[in-house]
Amino acid sequence: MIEDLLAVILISSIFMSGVRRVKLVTRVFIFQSLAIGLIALKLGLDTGKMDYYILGLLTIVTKVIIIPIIINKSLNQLKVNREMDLIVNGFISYILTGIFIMISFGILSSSHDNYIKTGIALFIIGVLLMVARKKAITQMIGFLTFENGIVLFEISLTKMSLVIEAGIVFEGLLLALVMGIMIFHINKTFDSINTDFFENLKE
Amino acid sequence: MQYNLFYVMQSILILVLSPLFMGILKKMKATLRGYKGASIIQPYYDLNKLLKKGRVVSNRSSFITTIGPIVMLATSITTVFFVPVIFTTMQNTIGNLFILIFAFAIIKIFTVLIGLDSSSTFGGMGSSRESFISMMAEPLTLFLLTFLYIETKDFNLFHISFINSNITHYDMAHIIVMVTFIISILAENARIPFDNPETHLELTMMHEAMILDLSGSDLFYVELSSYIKLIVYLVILINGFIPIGIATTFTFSALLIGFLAFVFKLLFCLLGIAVIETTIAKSKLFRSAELFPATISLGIIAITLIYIL
Repeated sequence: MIEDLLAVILISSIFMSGVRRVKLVTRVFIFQSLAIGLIALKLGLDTGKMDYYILGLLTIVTKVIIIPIIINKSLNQLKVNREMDLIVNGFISYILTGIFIMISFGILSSSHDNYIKTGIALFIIGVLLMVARKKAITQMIGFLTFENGIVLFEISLTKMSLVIEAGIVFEGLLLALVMGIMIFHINKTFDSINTDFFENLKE
Repeated sequence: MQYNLFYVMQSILILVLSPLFMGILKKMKATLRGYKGASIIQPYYDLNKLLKKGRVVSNRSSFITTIGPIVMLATSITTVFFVPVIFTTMQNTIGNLFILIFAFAIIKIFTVLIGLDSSSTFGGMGSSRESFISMMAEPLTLFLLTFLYIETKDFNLFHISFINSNITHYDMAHIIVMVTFIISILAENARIPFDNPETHLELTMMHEAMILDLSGSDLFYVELSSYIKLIVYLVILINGFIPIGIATTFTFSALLIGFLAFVFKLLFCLLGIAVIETTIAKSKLFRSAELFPATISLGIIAITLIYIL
């Protein structure tokens, strides 16, 4: 069951790295977050710890329901649908993601904990999305993927206090809210959400 | 050796029922789109109508058009006998995966040659597109083969099915490869993200463009071979990757369970294809080619995982 969900996470992370349409990326992100939430709930069912239940519920509520609503709202305001000129194009980002996942699983091959490996793979894919895309909204989704990686990484650790877990989840929520407003203002100032135009800000 | 007769019988079952399954697929699509649709035995009527007609061959075409369709049908009928359907054992000598893959390559190359042979514009266009797609689909198939070999240490599909039927819980790599194989099925059989099997619009068609010049009994051979090819691919998916419930002992109850499980899984796969075809639009040629790096990197990951874990 958990292995299946981890496979869903890996597949979704691959598709997320190369798809151009922002709505599609958001939908894949929802799948990924749902899988992570279900993993936490399943672990809660297995171990009986309250922490896992709370973490799973928080992840599902914030990342499956609230954040997609925010993203869709700002997408409708902006009328941006697809990422046109990528810094790293679709072909190469798919292959890069595959190689990154391969490396992160290879380096950590001595540990038998799949959460850490998948978590680190998600870190790298999130960073790739942040670096290789120009639209601010995709970069935000990249950061949220990074957050998903942190959640997975943290599931594998034996004990982290609930305050920190809740902090991580709410940080993601807050980031989405702030970025939603920020992107709106970026669009108002530059008539585009391409982060390349930030260079115009210097004297 | 003692079950040879049964193997032949179960393969003939698939051969006879493949137009029925295609009819079910068309019916599912019609139902999902909200109209009534033709009856599920309509493909039999269509094939019968085609078979009754004579053949018309362009006077520009060479012997390729004469022998091509029958070679395609013969090859696809051969592949049916290389897959387990509802019963499998460890004592089987035929069923090598490489023969299956190269038989499909024969079908593909004859389709491409028929498209080029009649020297019509659409045929050449369809052939070039088909070669473009298959250029990227072939390495994918090899990755999947490698994965199945590493997992079971066997190339025989009957043995693979026997070994995998004992697995109770699938690991990550297995599921990733299964998803990859589903995409590969869609690519090899000209289904929707890559090619629309229903259209005759010249801008979008690939498989239909190549067989546009065939008619009558030639078209019958090609159509039947494409039906069989899709069903055989689905059988490889079902019995190679998820062979739960396949009969491994020759008793009546096991065979019944195997048959029911097979039909249920096949109908589920057909429903999946129908849902994909009604929800996704056909993507542009070069955009659909972007799907292959994704699947190839999925294959890389799966092979890494099975080595490490």
